[in-house]
Amino acid sequence: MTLQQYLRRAWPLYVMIVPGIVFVLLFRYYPMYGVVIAFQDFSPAKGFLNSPWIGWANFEFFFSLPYFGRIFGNTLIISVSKIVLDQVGAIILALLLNEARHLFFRRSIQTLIYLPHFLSWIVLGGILLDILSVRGILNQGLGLIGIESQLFLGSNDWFRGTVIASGFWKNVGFSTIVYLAALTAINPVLHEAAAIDGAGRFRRIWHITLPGIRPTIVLLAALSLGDVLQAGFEQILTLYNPAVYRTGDIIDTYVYRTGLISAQYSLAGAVGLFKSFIGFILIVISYWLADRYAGYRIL
Amino acid sequence: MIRDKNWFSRLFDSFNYVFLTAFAVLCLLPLIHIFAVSLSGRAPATGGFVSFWPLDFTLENYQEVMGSRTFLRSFMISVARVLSGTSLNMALVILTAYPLSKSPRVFKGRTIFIWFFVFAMLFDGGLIPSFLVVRSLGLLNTLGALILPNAVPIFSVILMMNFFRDVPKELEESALIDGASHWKVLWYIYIPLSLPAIATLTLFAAVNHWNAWFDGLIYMTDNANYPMQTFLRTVIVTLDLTQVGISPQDLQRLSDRAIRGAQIIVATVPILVVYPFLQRYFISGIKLGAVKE
Amino acid sequence: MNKKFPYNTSDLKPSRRDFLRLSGAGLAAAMLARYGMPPAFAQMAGDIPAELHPGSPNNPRGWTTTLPPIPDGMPVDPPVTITGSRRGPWEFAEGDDIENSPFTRLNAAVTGIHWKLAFNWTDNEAEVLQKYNLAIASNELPDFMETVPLQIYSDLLENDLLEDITDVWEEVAHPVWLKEAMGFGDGVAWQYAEVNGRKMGIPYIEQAAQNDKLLWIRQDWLDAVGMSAPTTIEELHAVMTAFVEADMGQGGAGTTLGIAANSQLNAWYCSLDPIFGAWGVIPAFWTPDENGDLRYDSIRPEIKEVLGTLRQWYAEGLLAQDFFTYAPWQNGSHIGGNLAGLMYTPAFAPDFGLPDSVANDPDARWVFGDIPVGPTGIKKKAWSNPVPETVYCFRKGFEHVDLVLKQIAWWAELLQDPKNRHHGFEGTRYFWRNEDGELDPMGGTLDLNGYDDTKHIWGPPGTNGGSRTSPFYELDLIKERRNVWANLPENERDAYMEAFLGGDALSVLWDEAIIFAVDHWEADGIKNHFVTVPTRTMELTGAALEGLEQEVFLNIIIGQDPLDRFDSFVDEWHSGGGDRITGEVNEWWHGQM
Repeated sequence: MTLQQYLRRAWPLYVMIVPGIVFVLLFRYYPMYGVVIAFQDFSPAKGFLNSPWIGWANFEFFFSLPYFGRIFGNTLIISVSKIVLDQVGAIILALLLNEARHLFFRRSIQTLIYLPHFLSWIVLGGILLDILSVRGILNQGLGLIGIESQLFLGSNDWFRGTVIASGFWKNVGFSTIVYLAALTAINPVLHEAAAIDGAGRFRRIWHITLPGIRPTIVLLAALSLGDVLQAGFEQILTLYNPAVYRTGDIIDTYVYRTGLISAQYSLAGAVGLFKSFIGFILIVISYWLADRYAGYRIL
Repeated sequence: MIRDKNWFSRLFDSFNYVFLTAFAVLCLLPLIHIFAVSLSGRAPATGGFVSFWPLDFTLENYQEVMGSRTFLRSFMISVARVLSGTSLNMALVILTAYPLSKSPRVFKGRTIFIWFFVFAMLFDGGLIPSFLVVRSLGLLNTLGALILPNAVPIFSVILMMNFFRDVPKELEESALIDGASHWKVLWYIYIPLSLPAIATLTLFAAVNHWNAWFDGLIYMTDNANYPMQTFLRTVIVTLDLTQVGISPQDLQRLSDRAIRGAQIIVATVPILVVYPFLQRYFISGIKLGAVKE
Repeated sequence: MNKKFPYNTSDLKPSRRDFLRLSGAGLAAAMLARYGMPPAFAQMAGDIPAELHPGSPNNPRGWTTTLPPIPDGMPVDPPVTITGSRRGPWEFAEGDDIENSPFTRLNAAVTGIHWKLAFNWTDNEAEVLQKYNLAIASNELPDFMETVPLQIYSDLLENDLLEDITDVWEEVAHPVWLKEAMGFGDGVAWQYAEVNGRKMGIPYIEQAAQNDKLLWIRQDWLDAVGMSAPTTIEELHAVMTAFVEADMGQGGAGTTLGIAANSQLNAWYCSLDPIFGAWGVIPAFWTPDENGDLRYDSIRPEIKEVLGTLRQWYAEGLLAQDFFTYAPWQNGSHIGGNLAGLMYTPAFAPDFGLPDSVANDPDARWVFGDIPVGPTGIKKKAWSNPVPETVYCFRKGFEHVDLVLKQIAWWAELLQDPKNRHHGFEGTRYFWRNEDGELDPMGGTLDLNGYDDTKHIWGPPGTNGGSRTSPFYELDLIKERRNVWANLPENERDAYMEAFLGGDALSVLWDEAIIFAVDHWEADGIKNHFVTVPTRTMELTGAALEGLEQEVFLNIIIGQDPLDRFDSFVDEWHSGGGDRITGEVNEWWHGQM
C-alpha cells in the first residue's frame, strides 16, 4: 500500500485528531516550561527567566524533611487503600445493581448512590464533623449497642480509617457508573446460552459478566496508578487537626502549610513534578506488563 | 430474561435489595440533613439542633438565596458553562478517541499520539504558566477561560477509546468496503453503538464542569464572575482565620448554617436531574441488535 | 520598645454593676439621661450634586451628613483612572457594581478619581496569595494594592516593585487624619510599612483591643449553681466543674462543656490564651527575657505547667472530648447551641455566637468579666496588635500617590469624625434591613454593621474588617453616641441614632466590652515582639516546627502523649532549626533598637 493509497482512506483520522492536539499543545504542553521552577528558587517577581537556578536543591530539601517518611507513608497508605477499595467496591456495586432486576428500583438506587459525589469536601467536612463528633449520630448509635464513643477524627487509631471510609462512601457510587456502562456492552445472548446449558447465576457472573468488563477494570486500575500519590488533599485538609498529623498528614497538606508561611512555589513545583513522574512511571510499567504478559494493550 | 428460582438465588436477591437500599439511604442522609437545615430557622440550625427534620420551619433561606444577585449570577454562569463546556468536551472526546481506537496499522503514528495525550494528562506546568496563556489569549473573566483550557478531558478520551474498541469490527469493515468514509463510520456506526459510553462521559463532563471551582478562582480576576461552586466555596471557606480580620457581622452572616444549607441545595439539585435523563441510554444489548441486522 | 497606646476611657466607663445590669433587657434607657449636648447640624457641602450626597435630609426621620472640605486641587481635572485590587464579594444594588456604587460616585465628584478593578479576592488566605502572585507574574501590578500579605510584600520590596511614598507623604498627608491618626504608640503603626526609614506603603490599622479576650459567662448559669464570676484560675475550675456537673447545657445530659475551645490554643474565638497568660506565657509569641533578648515562649517551662493543667481539665471532662477537631468559627455552634457557659472571646462576642445562644434559649444572659488570675498572681493574655501583618502598597512609578492620600484623608475625616454623621445613603439599599432581614432604606431598623457601612470605599477607611486610619475610631463613636446622641430628645434623633440607642442588649454589651478591653489592653497584654517578615529559617523549617508544636501540645492535653513529651519537644525544637531561628530573630530585634 502506497502512502497515497493509505492517506486516501486514512486522512479523516488525522483531521479528527487535530483539534484535540491543538488544545492539548496550547493549554497543556506550552505551559510546561513552568516545571523549571522545581529547579529554581522561584519568585513571581523575578519570573521564570530571572529566578536563580538551584539545581536539585528543592528535591533534596523535600526528601530530607524531618517528616518525609511520615508524610510519604501516610500518603501512600491512604491513597492505595482508597484506590483498591474504590475499584473493588465499584465493581461489586455495579454487579449487584446489574443483578437487581427491578428496573425502577435499580434506577432509583443508581441515582441515589452518586449523590455524595456532588457535595464538595468543604460541605461534607462540616457535616462529617457533626456526624462523627463525640455527640454525633454515629457515636450515639454505637452507644445504643454499648460501645463507648470513639474519636473518629481525633484519634490516631481511627483517623486514616475515617478518611478512607468517607472517601469510599463519597466516590464509589460515581465510579460505579463506568462499570455500568461497560456492562451494557455484554451480549445478553451469552447469558441466555449459559443458562440453557445449566450455568447457575454465580457461575454466569464469574464466567460471563466479569470477563466482559475486564478491559474496563484493567484500564481503570492502570490509570488509577497515576494517582498513587494523591491521597485527597481537600478531604484531609477539611477533616484533619494537629493531633492526628502522625497518621493523617500527607505530602499535599504539608506543602500547603509550608506555603502559607512563605509562598514556596518551587517546593510545590518540585513535589508536583515528583508526583507526576512517579505516576507516569507506574502507568508505563503497567502498560508494559499488560502488553507483555496478557498480550493486552490498555492504551 | 432469565429467571433463577432456586432458594439461594432468592436469598441473594433479598440480601441484594436490602443492601442496595441501605447503601442508598446512607448516601441520601446528608442531603436530607442539609435540606432540613435549609428549611429551618437560623438559630436552631446554627446551634446544631436540626437533624433530619426542620425546626422553626421557614422558606426565608431560599428567598434570601434566590434574592441574591451574586448567587443568581454565579448560578447562571455555571449553567452556561455546563452547556457549552460539555458540548465542546464531548465533540473533542469523540473526535479524538475515534482515531486512537484504531490499530497502528490503520492509523499510523497512533502510538505516538496516545503517549502524547497520556503524558499531558500526568504532567502540567503549574498555575502561573497556565494563567499566562489564558491571559495572553484575552480569556480572563470570560466563559472561554472555564471551558477552553480543559476542552480535551484526556481521561475520558482514553475511556471512550476503550469503549470504541468494543464496537464489533464486522460492521465497520463492511461499511469501509462499501466505500464509506471514516466520517460516516463514526457517525452512523460508532456513535449509535456507543450511547451508554457517551452518556457516561457526558455525565462526567457535565459534573466536572458543575463542580469545578479552582479555575474560576484563578481565571476570574473579578469575583463577580465566579461560577457557582467557586462562589459557594468562598462563602464557606471564608470562615478560615485570615491574616486581616474579618468583621464579626460577616462571621455571623456567613456562619448561618440555614442559609448555607439552602445554597448547597440550590447548587446541587440541578445537576442531579442530568443523570436520570441520561439513564435511558444505559440499555443493554444495543450493539447486539445492530450486528444482527 | 515600650510603646504606649494612650486612650482615655474615663468619661466612658460605667461601673461594673452597670454593665451587668445592661446585659439584661431594657437597658439603654438607663443611660440616656446621663450624657452631653446636642450636635450642631451642619450644612450641605457646596459643589457636590444633591443626588450624590450621603444622608437622608428629606426624610422626616432622616439625617444630614456634613462633608469635609474638599481637598486642595480636587476634583482633579481631567479625572484620573486608578487601578486597584480589592477584597470581598459584595451584594450591589441593581445596576451598581464594585466600580460604580454610591461611594465611588461621590468619590469621583469629590476627588476626580475613578477606580478600576484590577482583581479582587474573598477572605481566604490562600486566595489572596494566589491572586497577588498571579498579578506579579503577569507583570500587571495595580496602581494601588489593598492589604498586601507580608510574604508578597517582601517579594515586591526585594525586587524593587514598590513606590517609595516617603516624600509625598511628608508633603500631602493630612496632619490630623493621616499623620496624627497613624502616629499612635511612637509610630508602631509603621512596623511593616516603613523599611529602613522609608515609607513603602500605608499601614492597615484595626481597632484598639479588637481581638483581646474577655471572659464571657452565662450569668443565669452562675445563678443556678449559686456561684459568682471566677477571679482566679482555681475558681474558674470550680465554676466549670459546677456547670458540667449540673448539666447546664441545652444539649442533653452529659454534653455540657466546661469551657469552649478549639484546635488553636491562641485563637480569635474561644481561645485559651488567657489560661497560658495566667502563667505569663503565650504559645508562639516572642517575648523579651531579662537580658533584653527575644525568646520563644512555647519552649519555656511555664508552658509545661499550663499543658499539665489543661491535660487535667480534659481528663476531668471540662473540655469537649473532641475540642481539638474544631476550628474557631465552629465554636459558634457550641455557643449558639448553648453547650458552653464560659469562653475567652473578644468584645465582638455579642455579634457572633451570642445572638444564636439567646435565640435558642431566651433565658440566656451573657455577661463579660475580667480574665481570672493565675496561681502566682499573674493576669495576662495575648495582646492584640492593631497593626496586622499587611500593608497597602503603590506600584513603582505610579504618579498619583498624592491623590490617593488626599482621598484617604477625606474619607477618614468623613467617617471617623462622628460629628459629620455619615450614616450612609438613603435609598441605596446597602445596609438597611427591615425586620424580615431584607434590605430596606428607611422605615426598617438599621443593621448595625459598624464596619460594613464603609466597605464600598476604595482605600484604607473602606477595607473590610475594621480598618480605619486610627485605632480609636470605634471608641470615638461610642463616646459620641453616649455623650451626645443619647442626650437628644427623642423627636430629634434620626433613624440611625434611634437604631443604636434603642439597640438590643447585645449591641450595648459590645460597647461595654470594647471599652473594658481597651482599659485592660496595655496592662494585661503580652506582646509578640517579633513583628516583621519570616526569617529565612522560618521559611524553610517553620511549617515543620509549627506543626510539631501544635501536634505535641494537643496530644499532651488529650493524653495521647505523656506530659514529659514536652521536654523532648523542646530538644527537637532547638535542634530542628529553633536555635537558628532564635539567632535570626534576635539579629533583627537588636537591629531594631
